Amino acid sequence: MKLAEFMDDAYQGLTRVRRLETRQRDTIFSLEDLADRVGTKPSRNAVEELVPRDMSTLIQLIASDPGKTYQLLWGYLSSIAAERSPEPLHLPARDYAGLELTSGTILLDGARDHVGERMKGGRILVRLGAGDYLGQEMSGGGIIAGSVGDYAFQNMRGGFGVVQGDSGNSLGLGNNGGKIICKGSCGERAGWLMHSGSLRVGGEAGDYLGLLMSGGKIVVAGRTGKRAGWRMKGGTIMANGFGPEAADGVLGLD
Amino acid sequence: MESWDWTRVWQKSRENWHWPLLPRPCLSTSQTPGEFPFQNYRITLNPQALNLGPLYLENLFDHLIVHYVFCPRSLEVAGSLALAALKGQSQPESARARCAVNIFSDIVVDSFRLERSADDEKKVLMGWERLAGQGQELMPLDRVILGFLREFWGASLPSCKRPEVDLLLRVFSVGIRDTGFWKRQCQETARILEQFMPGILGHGQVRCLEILNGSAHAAPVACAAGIDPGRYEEALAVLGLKGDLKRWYRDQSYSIEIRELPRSRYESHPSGFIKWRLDDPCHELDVAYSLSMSPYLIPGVSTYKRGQETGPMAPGHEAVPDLLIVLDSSRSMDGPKIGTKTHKATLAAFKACQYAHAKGAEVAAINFSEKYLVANWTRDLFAVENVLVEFLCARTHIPGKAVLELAELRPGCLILCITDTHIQNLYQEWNDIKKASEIGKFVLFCIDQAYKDKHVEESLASLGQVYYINCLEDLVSLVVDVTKRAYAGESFISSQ
Repeated sequence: MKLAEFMDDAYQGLTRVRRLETRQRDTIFSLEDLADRVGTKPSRNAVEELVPRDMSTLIQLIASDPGKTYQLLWGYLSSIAAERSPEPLHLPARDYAGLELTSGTILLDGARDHVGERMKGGRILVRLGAGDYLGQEMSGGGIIAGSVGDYAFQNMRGGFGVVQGDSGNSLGLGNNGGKIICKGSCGERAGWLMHSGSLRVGGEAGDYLGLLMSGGKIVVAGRTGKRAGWRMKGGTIMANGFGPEAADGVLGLD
Repeated sequence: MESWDWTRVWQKSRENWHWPLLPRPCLSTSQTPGEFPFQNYRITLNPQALNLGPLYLENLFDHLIVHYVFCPRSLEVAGSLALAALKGQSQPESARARCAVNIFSDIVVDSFRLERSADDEKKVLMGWERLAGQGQELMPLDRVILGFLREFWGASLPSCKRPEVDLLLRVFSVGIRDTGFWKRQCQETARILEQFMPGILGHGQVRCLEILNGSAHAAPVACAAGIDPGRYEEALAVLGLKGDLKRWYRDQSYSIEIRELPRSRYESHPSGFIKWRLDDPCHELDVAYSLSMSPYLIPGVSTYKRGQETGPMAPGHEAVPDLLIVLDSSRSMDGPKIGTKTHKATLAAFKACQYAHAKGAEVAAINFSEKYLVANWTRDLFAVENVLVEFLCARTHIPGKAVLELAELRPGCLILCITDTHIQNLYQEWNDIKKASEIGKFVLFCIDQAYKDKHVEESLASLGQVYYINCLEDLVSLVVDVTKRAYAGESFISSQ
């Protein structure tokens, strides 16, 4: 017999042990509450330690608007929720969605800046256009987007990125690995400072393609702008046609 | 209802809660609406409550008692809840924060009672059902709370479909018994309810024992540590108290602990009788005792002497040196904000004064900038604190003559000088300061070593003991350490 039952029995109903329904584990009440405990620029581990285990609370936290102040926290929460969710997680378009994602799938109708930043695994599907810095510093996983803004897949170290439409400037800036496919055209300075990895462009490329690149491979199905491969130190650039002042080492697709 | 009736109800409520030491309520006689008729050690009862029957009255008394014995109970807890409520509001305002604290503590108190017994549950629900019965008079705030309590308690209260009900349920999903959650829960409650205020709920004074007992003005509020004076004053305003800079420093100094090591003197003392032998000195022989034990004195057999033992004994009374604080409040000390040189220096001075005062010493203070303020030798700690708390905010001119005059009145006093060494008139005042350091024990704390003046530093080193503070955080502990050694240790004064 438990002590509570024993006491009930002894006091014959004069006293009772009624407990309101409570959770045993410490929980997070809101994004503000989480920020009070870990700060607004925490590490993922710090957030993960405090995040509630039950999915319903996590979904409630993600449903709240983080504003500019708590967007990093929201980004971590979106990744943790996607990793725990057995099905693809459909999220509203916000900055930092899928921040440091390691597994799972996130579906976005449209996306803002910094989506999929530092991701290591999993998939992010953006049906429409994404903002700037898509997949920045990613080292694994894959992102598929309708179109992207500037600095997409910057400093990429692994994984893949597919852009079904056009991309903005500085696509694949400083890449050290990974694969990027842009089915449409890309803006200026694509593959700038590229060290390794590959970049394929289905349409045309802007000026300064492969600027200062030292490794990797760039293939353009259409024509490039002026000064393709300018001051390149290594790697390969292949295109169907080159604009004026292209570097000596660039190759034609033929 | 006759008056004897409700007093018996009060006694019954006290009996329900194991006879807490609370004063008998008084019927309110105030006719001014909105006025809070509060006096020391008095729980005020609205006469209209008497018309609502003994059960309702018992519920009300139980509710009040649990406020005083459980939540918020003490000024310390009430202060931390007030701070949390202010933090939770996007536009902090003391009246709204007070309302949030009251609503939060009402929820905690009644949930606690609800869990206690079936009788208590019945009384709690009766009170809230009566509130729900006010219908059209209910404000959105009240409706949200009632809707939340309906879900939280599973009670037959009016439902509310607003999303804030779910947010409140999440906040209270960890229960109400763990006091470690109260600050966060109160902060979230304030954040959620901010848009709905005001309503019927949440009015009146925050109920805690110190306010009831009339000692709130002097009770320490440890939550002062780590917050700016402005926020501290706001937090006290939520509790209906007036906070000032002096209290801010004093409340912070309470949390600085001076741990005294137990002292003892090691001396020999007489113990029982032991045998006197031929090789012992003759004068140690206790002839009277030996003859009382035997008529014949046979050395080593019937001869006795008094034994001696050496061991720790209670320390004797020692005179404590009086304390003179010389505090720099020039512009370069940065003013009374959290983490500044002024803040740390004043806090250290407050603690040193309190400690010396507690040890029976007289205290004096000089607060200097271009001009200076003096508190003469006194046992009135408040007078000294009034001088220390001022920020004069001008150039650094040390008043050597005033230091010397005070030191001459108490030869051997301890002089603690806290400055950032940007002293501009040091050489004009040098002779006086040098004389003062010879009369008393001079200890100098130089802040801001990165910008130190080499010549000043060398000159000051010849005055006595000098501490150079590289890290501002060390200042308080160093001052406290020096004070402790002066008043509770043995090495500091004797080493000079």
